[in-house]
Amino acid sequence: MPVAKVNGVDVEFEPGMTVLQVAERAGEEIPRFCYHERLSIAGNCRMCLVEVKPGPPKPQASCALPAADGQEIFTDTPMVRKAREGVMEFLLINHPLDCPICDQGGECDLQDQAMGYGRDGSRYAENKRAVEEKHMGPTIKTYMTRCIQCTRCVRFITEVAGVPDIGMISRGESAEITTYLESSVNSELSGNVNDLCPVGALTHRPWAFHYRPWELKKTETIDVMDALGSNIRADARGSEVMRVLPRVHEGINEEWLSDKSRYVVDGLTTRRLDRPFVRENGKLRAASWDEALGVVADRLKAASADLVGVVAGDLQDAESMKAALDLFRALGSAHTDCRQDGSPLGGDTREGWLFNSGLAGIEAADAVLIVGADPRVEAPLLNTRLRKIWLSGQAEVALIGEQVDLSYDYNWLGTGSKTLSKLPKAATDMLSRAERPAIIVGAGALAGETGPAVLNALGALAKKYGVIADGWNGFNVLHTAASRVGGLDMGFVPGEGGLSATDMVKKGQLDVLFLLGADEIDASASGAFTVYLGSHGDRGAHGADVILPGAAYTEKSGLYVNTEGRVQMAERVVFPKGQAKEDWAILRALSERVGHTLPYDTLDQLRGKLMADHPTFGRIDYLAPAAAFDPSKLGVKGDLGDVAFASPIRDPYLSNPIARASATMAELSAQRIAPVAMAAE
Amino acid sequence: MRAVVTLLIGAFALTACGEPASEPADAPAVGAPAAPKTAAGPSATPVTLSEAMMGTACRAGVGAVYGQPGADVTVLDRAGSVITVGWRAPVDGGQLTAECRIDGNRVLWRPLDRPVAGENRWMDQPGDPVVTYSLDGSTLTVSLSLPDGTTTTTAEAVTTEEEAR
Repeated sequence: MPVAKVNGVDVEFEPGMTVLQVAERAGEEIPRFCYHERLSIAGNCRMCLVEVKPGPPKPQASCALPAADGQEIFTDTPMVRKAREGVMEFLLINHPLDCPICDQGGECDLQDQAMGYGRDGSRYAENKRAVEEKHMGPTIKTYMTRCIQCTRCVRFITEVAGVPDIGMISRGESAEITTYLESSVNSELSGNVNDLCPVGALTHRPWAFHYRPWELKKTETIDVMDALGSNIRADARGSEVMRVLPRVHEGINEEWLSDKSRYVVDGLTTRRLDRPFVRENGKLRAASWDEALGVVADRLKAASADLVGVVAGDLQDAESMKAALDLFRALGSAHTDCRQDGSPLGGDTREGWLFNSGLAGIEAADAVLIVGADPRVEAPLLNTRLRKIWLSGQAEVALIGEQVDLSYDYNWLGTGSKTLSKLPKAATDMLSRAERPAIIVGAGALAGETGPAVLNALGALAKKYGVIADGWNGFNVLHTAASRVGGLDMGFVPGEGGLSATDMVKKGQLDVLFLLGADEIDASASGAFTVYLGSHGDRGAHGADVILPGAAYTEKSGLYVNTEGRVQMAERVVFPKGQAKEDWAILRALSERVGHTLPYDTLDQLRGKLMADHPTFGRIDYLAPAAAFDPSKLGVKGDLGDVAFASPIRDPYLSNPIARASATMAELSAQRIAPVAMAAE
Repeated sequence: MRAVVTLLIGAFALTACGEPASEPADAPAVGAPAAPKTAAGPSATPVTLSEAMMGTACRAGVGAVYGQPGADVTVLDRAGSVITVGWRAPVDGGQLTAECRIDGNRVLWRPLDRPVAGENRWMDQPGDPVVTYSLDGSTLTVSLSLPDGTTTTTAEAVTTEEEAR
């Protein structure tokens, strides 16, 4: 490996690294504004200047200079220091001194670096430049006078998000960042530009002026808005979650976060269920815990075991599902299901419902066939990875399903099962010539009566084209619910003779229907006595006879398994609202009243039982190498029919009870539909 | 007496200054709101559209409602007189869809993607926006009238290729 000297210390580096990267490898911190590891190099802020020998006798931008063998790099000479101080003085010429009222204050790169390289007074006596504010949509608040034109936002939105909606116009002192024709930024990843902005030019609009960063208590936890399990940090003040920011996890979300995961937090404070309710004479009235649990217990005890059932929702943690499953099995019920969308997944082969290549692993694929999924809507941060391999020219992408805009080109093969039954030559050619082909199966392909047959056909296709080979498993199921893989892993599916979720809600099938945070299934026709345990007064609660207020995902510690099968632990950020309790504790209390006391008194004991019964839950943040399996045995062989595949997520901003309670999500949804329709609907 | 005279003069003055009595409006059909009159003036006698032209009217009409150029709205399916159209969602590129049918000179539509089932209804109730069309030779004019009285009109040339879509 080549070697360079950084401040007199030898450092080995890989060919292609920049001087800045080599200096960082040596432990030297190089100040920067425009440089970002995951974006292309712009080299326009000049803050990362260093002295390099051999080379011209002047400071050089280390972010844009390739390192060379035998090079000598100096990061803290008088020349370097003077150059950086000069750059800082120029940057501060036009930057307003409004840190006390700036939302970036306290976590601002410019503020921090001005402490190191700034002067105590200004030599600039002219008028400062002022730039008009821009409208960039519901997520981005602009204060463009603060902008230092680093172009990080431009590069992110163009390169990563694939939506070139932000650009720089004019030159010199007139240069400014803007959106085209002052339109909103049309991206599901727009909030990331606020994170990237090294000054306070772009800040988070939904949280503007709501907090100062040093007031917040920071908790590292897991996102549940999709099935990726993005790593997040939830910041709270008192009992309220004020904001959610991404944490770095190279295997999942890198360092990005979708707008939905980030801005849904205002939904945690509205429409909350904060006390138990019991329906009396057709109307819900507040009740005590004792009374509400007593009513539910009486109903469960009175009903025959084969007439009670439970459906688990999309945001449930594994512990509460385990408690519900144990309780209903103890009651003698086989009617348990976590698949509100009616998918046929489940069974003995875990690889049959996982995203086997792994989220990061998909970047190794050289051909991707997407079936019945819209990754941009269902899993935006998986879509950025697909875009990455498309941009590099490494992979071809083909799609069977709705012809949507994925932010990259793909070969659209057809709309549904008919195309799958007779795959076009373009698809077979693509899969045949690929060394690492991957199939991404979405919930849109597996829903409905033809789901098992579609799953079987896809399994056969995977076998035929070597999607599962030595060291490679490209059979990938893309889930849309954070709880789904956990539920399938513990067998939260109908027992022998049990009804599926879609059958349970049919008229007259059950006497007592227990909805464990299940809001995405219509139980209004059921006619059963309905119990809803959840955090929000949403669809599930509306038709319920008893409401048991539970905790939202930021109010409990819980295990979640993401679509690739990685178990992660979410932490409690704040306490449940009002009289609400953690879901597992409610089920434990109920079990005592029905005479089948669950064998755990604490969350740790429950976890112990879960891990003992299903060892996969014991391996936190571990991604098991995907084992080979026979995909042709998945599903049931049958007629594929003529069904159009459509993503089950019709509006990503309104796809769960927390999102539906969020004003910011409502605003994003309205923008998605378009302004005219906002007035219309 | 003086008070009576003053009142009479006042009443006369008010009558003289007031708006002339408006002509009786055309009575709308029961259950269907009257299409607001627009500058473009939809043709009083609806023309009979060919199947292809129905698709064009639907694309233009639904496009007007959802702020999309007619060319960006595509016909996805036809079932009898109901045409399903789709377009790309502005924020994330997902597909949005609506059903559409032609009723006289009106373009009626029903969104299909709203998360609340009750919102996926035919937009033909009082208070809903009204979309009308008129065809003048090779020009299709679509008028959108919102409940707040705002009216926008768009015209587009209908080419042979477009008719064939």
